[in-house]
Amino acid sequence: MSERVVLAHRTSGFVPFQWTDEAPEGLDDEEVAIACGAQWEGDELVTYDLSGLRLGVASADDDFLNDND
Amino acid sequence: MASPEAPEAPEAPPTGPGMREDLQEKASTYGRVEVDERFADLDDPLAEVPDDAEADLGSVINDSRVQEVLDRLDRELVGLVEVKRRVAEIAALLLIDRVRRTMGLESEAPTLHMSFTGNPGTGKTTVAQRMGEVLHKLGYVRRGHLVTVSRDDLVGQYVGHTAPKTREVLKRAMGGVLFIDEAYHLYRVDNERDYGQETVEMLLQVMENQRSDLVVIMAGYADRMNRFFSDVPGLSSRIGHHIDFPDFEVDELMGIGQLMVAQQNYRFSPDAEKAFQDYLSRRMEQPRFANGRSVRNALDRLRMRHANRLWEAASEEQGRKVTKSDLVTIQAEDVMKSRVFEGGEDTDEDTDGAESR
Repeated sequence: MSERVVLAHRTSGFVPFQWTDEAPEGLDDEEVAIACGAQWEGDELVTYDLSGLRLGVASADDDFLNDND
Repeated sequence: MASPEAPEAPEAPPTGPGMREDLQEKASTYGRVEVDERFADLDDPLAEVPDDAEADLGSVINDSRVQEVLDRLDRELVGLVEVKRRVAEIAALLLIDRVRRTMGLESEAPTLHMSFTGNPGTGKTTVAQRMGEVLHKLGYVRRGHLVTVSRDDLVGQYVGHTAPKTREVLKRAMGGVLFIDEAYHLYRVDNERDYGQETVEMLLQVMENQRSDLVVIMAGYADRMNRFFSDVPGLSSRIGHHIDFPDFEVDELMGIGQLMVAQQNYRFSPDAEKAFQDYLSRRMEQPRFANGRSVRNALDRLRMRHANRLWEAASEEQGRKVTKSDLVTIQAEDVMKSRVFEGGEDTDEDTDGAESR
């Protein structure tokens, strides 16, 4: 199984959660993270496929999909 | 003949269960009674928690590790007592709010958009950076990073270009601090077709709606910022903290110099220290002086002259060894070679990044 990476954790502050340093740059939306395979496990938003999530975030950010060719 | 029907007097408001609904109904009927929606689910928010309930403030402070950031700010920035005090006050507000939340005492996120006014090199960007860290540690923003922009990053050059540009920057800054340097350039009052107006409108909207998770800091010279606030109605009132960064005194500049020298693993000889203080007194009277930035630039040149001196000495004496002391000690002659001591205007130095004062 791939490595478990914590992207965010819930907080008791003004914002409901905070990103960790592991969260890719450009990821600013919880829904995008979940659409890219992340899931909440307790108080942690985690992914088991960081590279796939990075690609997904970049695609969502740039509004285009990479050409597989 | 029947007498005209007298209008019914409004009933006295009931008390007890149903009072709230009744008040809302009356409010819609008479438009006189206001009910705060924030307390819609609470009869008395303060009564929900007993007055003698306790929280461990010390452990909240330790857990947040915010003191580390404040200590670092104190070490990094010489002087600026008022600025540091304001940062500490903001930290205290967020910290106490965090403790209040543990007791269910919710309150609105405070407005933390700020304006930093002051001359170049007075520490505005450094404070903005540390502010991001403080806000992150205290749960106000999701990331705490700093995005520094100026007009060119926000305003487009043709129709339809500005909104996506501004939106992109806002997206990048979300969860952290958006630092807009020389913010007054965003709006050109004499040009009503200037695209900057669109950016200002978008910023106003975001500043109003995004009370947490994004802090906008507008920075620049005090007089121009004041004019900018007068030209853009509603901007100043959306900024919760107006912080002024004063110019450094010569002793403070010397302190900055000593700090920077130590950080680079150098030291002044006693004579060099006196000479550098003299240099600073002269330099700050010249054009394009940029406070801490000028000190940093001066030190870069000192290192160059120091290196050159060692090189020349080695060239003159074959096989000459250099000691650690040679490598770390800046001598008075390294300082005194500056053109500042020639009495003329120093036109070549501090050209990088310094602005006219």
